[in-house]
Amino acid sequence: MSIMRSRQGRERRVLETSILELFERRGFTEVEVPWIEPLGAVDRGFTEEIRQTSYRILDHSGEVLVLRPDFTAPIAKMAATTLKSEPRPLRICYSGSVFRRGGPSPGGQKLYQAGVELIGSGEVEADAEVVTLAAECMRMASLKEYRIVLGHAAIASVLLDLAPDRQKAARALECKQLQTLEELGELTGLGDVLCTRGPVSVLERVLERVTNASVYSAIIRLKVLADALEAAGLGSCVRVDLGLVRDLGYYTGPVFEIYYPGLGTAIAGGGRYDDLVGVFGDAEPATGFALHIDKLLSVPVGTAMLGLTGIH
Amino acid sequence: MLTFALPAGRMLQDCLFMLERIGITVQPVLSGTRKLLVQTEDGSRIILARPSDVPTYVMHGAADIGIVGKDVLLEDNPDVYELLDLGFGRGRFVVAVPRGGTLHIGAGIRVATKFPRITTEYFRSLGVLASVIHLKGAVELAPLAGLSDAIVDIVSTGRTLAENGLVIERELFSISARLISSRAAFGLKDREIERVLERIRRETSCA
Repeated sequence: MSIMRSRQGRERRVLETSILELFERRGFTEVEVPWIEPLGAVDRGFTEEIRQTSYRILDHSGEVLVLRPDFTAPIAKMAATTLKSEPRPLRICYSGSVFRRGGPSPGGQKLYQAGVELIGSGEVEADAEVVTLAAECMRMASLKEYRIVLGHAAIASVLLDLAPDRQKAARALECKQLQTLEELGELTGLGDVLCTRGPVSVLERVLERVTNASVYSAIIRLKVLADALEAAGLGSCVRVDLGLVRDLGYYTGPVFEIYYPGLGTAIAGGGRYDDLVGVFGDAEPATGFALHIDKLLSVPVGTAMLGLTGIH
Repeated sequence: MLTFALPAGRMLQDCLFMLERIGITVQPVLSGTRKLLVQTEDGSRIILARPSDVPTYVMHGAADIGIVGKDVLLEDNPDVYELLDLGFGRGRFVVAVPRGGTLHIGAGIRVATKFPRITTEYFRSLGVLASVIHLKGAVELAPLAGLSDAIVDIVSTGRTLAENGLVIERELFSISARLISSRAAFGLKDREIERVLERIRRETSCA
């Protein structure tokens, strides 16, 4: 092991501890999620993408095990089973590695995450609570120029239901093919909703033109969420993008991503997933987010306040 | 200010022409230099990268916007936004075989290509497990040299195929240049990117 690696290891440990302590101060209880478990126990909760990129292993009896590809599904299972009688809303936090196939190295990707799940509340206050907490993590790591982009999963699912070619529409959304999205808007009567993005004020303007009831209530909810974030002092870093999608078919309500200059992909992201807990037991609304610790550490200023600069 | 990643190669002139029309003058800065990173008068930064590396610069946040052929996006499936079809850099993906020969599509068919993923997926969609041979260039040579039964490649005029005694057996789909950005750049530099999008759509024929 090189000296460089151990330095990064130390930075990660300090950052991880500070983040978990922040989560605990905000009322979240840490759980330990097994990093290997029988596939059958959690498979129902995985998205198609996670299913395709997870590592599976055969144990001595021929049972298929899965290396933890995700925290949310096993935590949703806990909520529906072992934590069923705990008072609601349930506030859970975690940190650790997830393992996925793909990426440039032959060993796949080992991503380090920390995050929270807020289970048992369908209120917009819960949505605002997790976004605010994610922003607090940014501030704690001295990251100032971050930006939060809000979207709503219902808009994408309305489009997919109305589109003549579902697969093509899904691709256009995921890759943000603007010309195709405009055509689809015309075709489905959603107009320019899918291409509406910018400061929160654009929501009010687009509402006047929306005719679809589900899309209308989705935008109203986003507006309430954005107002709550503004009240929490986050107004200047919040934008909306009604065409934003994360994991189609998984999220059911407001979704968000946090970006930071110099990183091409989101440093944190999450949203509402009201259909997941029900897969493992009684249905319950839920929302949460995950923070990509490795990406956070790759930002030079990310560890400045933790007193870690200069340790070489 | 935005950083653009442009593909060095056959599409570069079209890219520079388009940028010129939206008010970003690169040509004189580039001429007479072999620099791969230049700054334009309006403050934009231009990175000249190998075409297949353009999405990499964008995906990792080193460039905000990139221009790249749809072929690269299909082959490498990078996690980027594919904002606009720019309309230039057109070509067709084809299966070509030696003139006079026929293609017997079946297990073990040997296909040479620079695009192994696209080729494997196409033959898989026909229910055929093709033996895909990955070449880095001059794919037309493969059937002549006995390396493969057919090739999958991009053609624009078809002249190279004809000169090497190959004919188009079937067309798969057409491709063109795309304007890409990362999710993060699109979220962070929304106003600047929006302005570029608007100018491109006003100044060029890509509706």
